[in-house]
Amino acid sequence: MRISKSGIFKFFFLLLTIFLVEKVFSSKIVFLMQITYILLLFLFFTFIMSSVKQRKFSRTDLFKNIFIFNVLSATFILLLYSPKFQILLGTQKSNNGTILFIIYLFFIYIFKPQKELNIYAGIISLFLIPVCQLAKFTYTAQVFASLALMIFLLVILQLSKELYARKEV
Amino acid sequence: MRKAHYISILFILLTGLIFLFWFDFKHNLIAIGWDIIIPLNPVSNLKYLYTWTDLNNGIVILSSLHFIFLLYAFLQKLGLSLTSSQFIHTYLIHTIGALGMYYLAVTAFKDHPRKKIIAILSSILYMFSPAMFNMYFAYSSFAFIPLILGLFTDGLSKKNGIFYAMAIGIVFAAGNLPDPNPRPFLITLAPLILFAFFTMVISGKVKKILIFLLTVFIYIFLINCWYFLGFLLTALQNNNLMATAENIIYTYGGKLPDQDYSTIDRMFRLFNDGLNMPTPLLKTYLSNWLINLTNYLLPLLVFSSLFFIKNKSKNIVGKIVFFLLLGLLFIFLSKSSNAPFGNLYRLVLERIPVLRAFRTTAYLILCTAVSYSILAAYTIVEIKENLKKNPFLSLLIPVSLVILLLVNSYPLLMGYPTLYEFYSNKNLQRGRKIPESYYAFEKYLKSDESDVKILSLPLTFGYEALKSDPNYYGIPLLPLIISKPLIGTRNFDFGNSNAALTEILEAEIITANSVAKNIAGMTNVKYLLLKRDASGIDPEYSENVISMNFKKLLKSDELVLFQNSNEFLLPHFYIPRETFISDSPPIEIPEILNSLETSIIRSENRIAIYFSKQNKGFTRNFPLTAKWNKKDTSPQLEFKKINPTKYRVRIHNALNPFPLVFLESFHPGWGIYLSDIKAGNKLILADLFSEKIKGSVQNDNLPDGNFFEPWFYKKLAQTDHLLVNSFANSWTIKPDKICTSSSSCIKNADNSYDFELLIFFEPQKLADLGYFVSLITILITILFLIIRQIFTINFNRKT
Repeated sequence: MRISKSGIFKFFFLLLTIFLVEKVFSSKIVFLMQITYILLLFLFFTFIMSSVKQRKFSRTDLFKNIFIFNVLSATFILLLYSPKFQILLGTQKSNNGTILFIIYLFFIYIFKPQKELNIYAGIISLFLIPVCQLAKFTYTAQVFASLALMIFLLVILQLSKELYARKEV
Repeated sequence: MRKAHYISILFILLTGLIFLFWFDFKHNLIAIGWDIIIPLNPVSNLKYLYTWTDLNNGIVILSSLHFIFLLYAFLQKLGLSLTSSQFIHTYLIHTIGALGMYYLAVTAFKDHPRKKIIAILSSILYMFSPAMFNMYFAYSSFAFIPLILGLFTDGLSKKNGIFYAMAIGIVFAAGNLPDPNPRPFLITLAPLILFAFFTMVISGKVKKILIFLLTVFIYIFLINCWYFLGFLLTALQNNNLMATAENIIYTYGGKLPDQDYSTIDRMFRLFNDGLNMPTPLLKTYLSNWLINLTNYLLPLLVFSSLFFIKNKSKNIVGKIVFFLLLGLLFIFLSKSSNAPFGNLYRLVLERIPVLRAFRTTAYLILCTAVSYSILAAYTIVEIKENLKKNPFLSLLIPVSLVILLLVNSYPLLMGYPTLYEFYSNKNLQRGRKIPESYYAFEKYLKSDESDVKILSLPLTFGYEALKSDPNYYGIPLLPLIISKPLIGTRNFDFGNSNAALTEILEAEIITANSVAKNIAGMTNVKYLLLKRDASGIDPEYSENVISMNFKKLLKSDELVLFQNSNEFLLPHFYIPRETFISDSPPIEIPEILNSLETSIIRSENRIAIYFSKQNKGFTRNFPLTAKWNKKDTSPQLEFKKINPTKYRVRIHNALNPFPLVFLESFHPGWGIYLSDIKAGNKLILADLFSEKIKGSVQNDNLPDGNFFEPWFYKKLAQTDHLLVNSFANSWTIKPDKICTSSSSCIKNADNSYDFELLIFFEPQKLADLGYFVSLITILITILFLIIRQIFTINFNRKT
């Protein structure tokens, strides 16, 4: 079985949505959501492992899937526990938005998705700011704001490059 | 085509009338507080437009408010109230901003078929931009950033670039951009530079753009020459003007003011939570979930513009990308020491002290507001275009979006920035009433024409808190009302700070020490104003303590006026009869005065104290070499204050060298000029003088002289410009040396001389030169453009 790129994206956004719903309605169902998220991650991991055993994956695909798994896990941990990190560090100077952006850069380097994905990712990050603020996750809102800023800068860079190449007066 | 533009302009001008609802004209209330400075006594406040202001014994602080102060003075002359003037001020700032935005949008999207709708929409969005929540009231830069960017964008594509460069220079000046704080300058100049470099990159026309940018820089300098020249010289003469502190000041609990406050997620919606609104209204605005979502509708629309760039011309896409870049860059700058890279920002601020001017940068979000307004309008128009097939939706969705965006800005539409909250009855009031007694006291003080100073107590740190209802916290009000020189600040940001003596004086007054009378007299302080409603003081106790040494004259609910005895009062200019040289630090001035016999201080002695530690380089100079005691033969002196930077002093019967003391803060910029008195015109010592204090005659009948006087008079060498009385200027005047080489002195029968001096603050001279250069630049450019136009028309006719 080969996983299509669009399938990976759908899955990626599904997890993000779950995370978002969890943050917004983080009262009684938060625990349930966390468990669901972890279960999904576990299922995904099992799926990869079983696929590897059955040799359904090419080497590249395996690498991509492991990357997605790691990114999702890291994102989950970072976003879920970032307020705690913040308390641990006692400062708001560090911001995981930069780390997320670096992960995102690796993501686009490996998968080379269409440019539009950057715009979508930026818009989603931007949309997550008020959502996180409503859920009182102010630190997470800052993380998404940083991510949005950097993604949009990346988009601007790409567009400027395109404009430079356009010979139109 | 033109008709549509006129209708749009009219629409903007009419929309601006909404600011009528911000003010209570009936009760003559005004919006003032925090950093808002408006002239409360406009004609008298014009004195702050000089390079030297007579506040706090005299300080260098270049006003950034020339045009606003001139506007208020003009409106006062027309008989308008302060409330009406403030409405006009607000109206002008917002409508000029909106018109500038209209011009920018039309210029930027000149290839777009719907450019006029984009322009009108962006101008309305800008006029009510949420960025204004974080601004000073009617912040000048708000009006001029889009206009300047529009002129630059237009100028780049036009042949007569010089006209646009000149227009940019003029708008820079009108925008009060010469400000001691470089923020307004940065937010106006940075978009130009960014646009120039961005266009260079995508178009490759490096040479053309660089030449235009350079022309613009030259014009900005030439047309603002009046500021740059005066400021630069003052900065060079006074190291204190430039920040040299090793540690960052203005940190609270180790945090910079914007830290944890102007966070990046908040700045994406154009404002932090510190809004200038009454608490209950602020709470409603910030906690409502629907409003919270509409806050982010604006950035979502702005960045959604990226979905509408397919099949667009390079020009349109280029402009969209530029505005996005501008917006993001200034979001990053406005979040200052917050994440991401907040550490780096703070590190830079700590390592380069002069950058402490950027300790709070939330105001920089104004540039993002420019880009947000134009891009949100673009997206809304594009959504409408994409929904063309469904007329209902193509109308409903854009209109709904505009309504939602205006809902987001409802505090501006409802005039919240001018609402103040009473703490006694929780009612809201549209504006603030300046107590009548402030003006009544000013009237009383103005009736005394003597050139003396007023000490207002308690001293402030540059801001004052009053227990009035509604509470007041902001720029001290008295300096904006009282026309006499006022001393009231404990320390200041800029200028050569000689506030130590003022602090000592306050301490001596509060401890009811009688030496306070001497120190007050030594600073030319005749009146004391106690602010009864100032926070942190017990008014009854303070009043009683001050009454022990000073005579109570007037009292109101807000103020008490005291008078210092003439016995101790030293005039603004005087020739000391007795000098003292002290090796003690200047802070010990009360002890020094206490050690002197009462008769020495009280009599007509006109003492002067020179501290050797303050005059280290001049220990061999007179009068530090020996105690000066010339009770019988000291010359007579007349003086007149022409303006804060220019005094006329006449000396009569001067035979031997003598020290001349000027009780204004020491500054190397003060220079002495010898007036050109024609021989035969005997100088008669005034017998009908306005005021006589301890031998100095304040003679307001002396001529004001002409504007160019200091330019043509001979400047005297200042090898012995000394610090006296711990803060003031002292020169040694040597009549022989002055008069032997000049025909400007009149020799008397006893071989003594009469002559006239001008005491002038030198940086003002350069500022005046700057005004001239600015004017000439404009005239020459206009002349050049007219001549070129005539030649072009003639050439076209011939061909």
